[in-house]
Amino acid sequence: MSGGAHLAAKVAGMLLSIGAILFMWHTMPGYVEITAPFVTRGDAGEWVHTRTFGVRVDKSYLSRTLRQTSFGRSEERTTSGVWVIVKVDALAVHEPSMIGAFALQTEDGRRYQHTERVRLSRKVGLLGRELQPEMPVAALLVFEVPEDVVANLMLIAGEREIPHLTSEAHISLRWQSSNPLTSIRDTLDLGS
Amino acid sequence: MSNELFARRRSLITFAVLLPAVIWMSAREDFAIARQSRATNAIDAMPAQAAQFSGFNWRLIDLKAAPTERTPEATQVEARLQIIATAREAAQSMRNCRVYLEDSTGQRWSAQPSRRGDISCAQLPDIDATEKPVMLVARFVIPTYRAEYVSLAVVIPKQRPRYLRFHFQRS
Repeated sequence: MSGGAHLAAKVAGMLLSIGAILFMWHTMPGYVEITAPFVTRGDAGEWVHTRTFGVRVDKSYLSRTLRQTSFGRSEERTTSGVWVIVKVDALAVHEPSMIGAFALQTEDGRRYQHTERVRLSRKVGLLGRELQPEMPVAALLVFEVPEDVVANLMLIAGEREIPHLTSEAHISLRWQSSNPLTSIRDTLDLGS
Repeated sequence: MSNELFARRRSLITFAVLLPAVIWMSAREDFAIARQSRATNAIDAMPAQAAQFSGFNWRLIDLKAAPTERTPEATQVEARLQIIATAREAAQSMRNCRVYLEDSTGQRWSAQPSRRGDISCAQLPDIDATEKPVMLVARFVIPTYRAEYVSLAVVIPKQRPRYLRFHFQRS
């Protein structure tokens, strides 16, 4: 090989290497993407099974006030937005597991965690409850969201609040009418 | 063979040996942690047979199944295990011990919260089981169609991936 051709081959090799490094730099996923949760998507009414749990959205309700009986006393909880009550069924897949985090996600990506303002009994709540395989349990989830976001909400159920490499189910909520604001109740009794 | 060819072949062999060695050295702890995070290697025992596991002698005394009153598709299974410690310090290794029912595919159900007066597996670190045998009671609710084909599994985090499994033959 002549001296000129040898040099051209070296330059081409170097350019190719730099090109490969730049390509990898731009296409390599970041830490957040690498450790992202394993998402399974589905619609309301159908079972959505992740690696560790399955969840099905049964019905969703909207209300301005929640009524709850606690130690024999009736209590009412109001909100500046609207209460979203989601009735779900849940079970474990293969071995006992828990669903540790619930949130509602809006169309623009904002997430609203399960409320801490309402204490649900172990019978109707799902947080901290151990699920068993093939034994679905019915439960209520309660969220507080601004009124203008209720039309497009997605339920996110995950193994843990910090969702690194964990399973997550994403389920779109469905409303009976095209304008869900018309179906907002004044009061909803969590005991009924 | 020319010197250059010999050097290239030696480099290739060194690379083939070093690459897996480096991967193993950097990842062996992760492999070990992953292996110990699940109870996968069963030590099988028959119900009448006493089995040695984690410093205790284990014997499955009874595994009773009865349909639940409210829902016939669910069955309550009650397991009674007699255990005796072979050494006083054995109890400490029982921390976070859990009992499961397991079907032939490895699917598991955990025990319900224990009733007052019952001794559960998780209480063993606080009990002296060297003097006389201790009776453990675990209650499960499982699908009725699975009740015929389950085994009792005892999982102790310190012993993973090994765990004790009693095969139960319904009379």
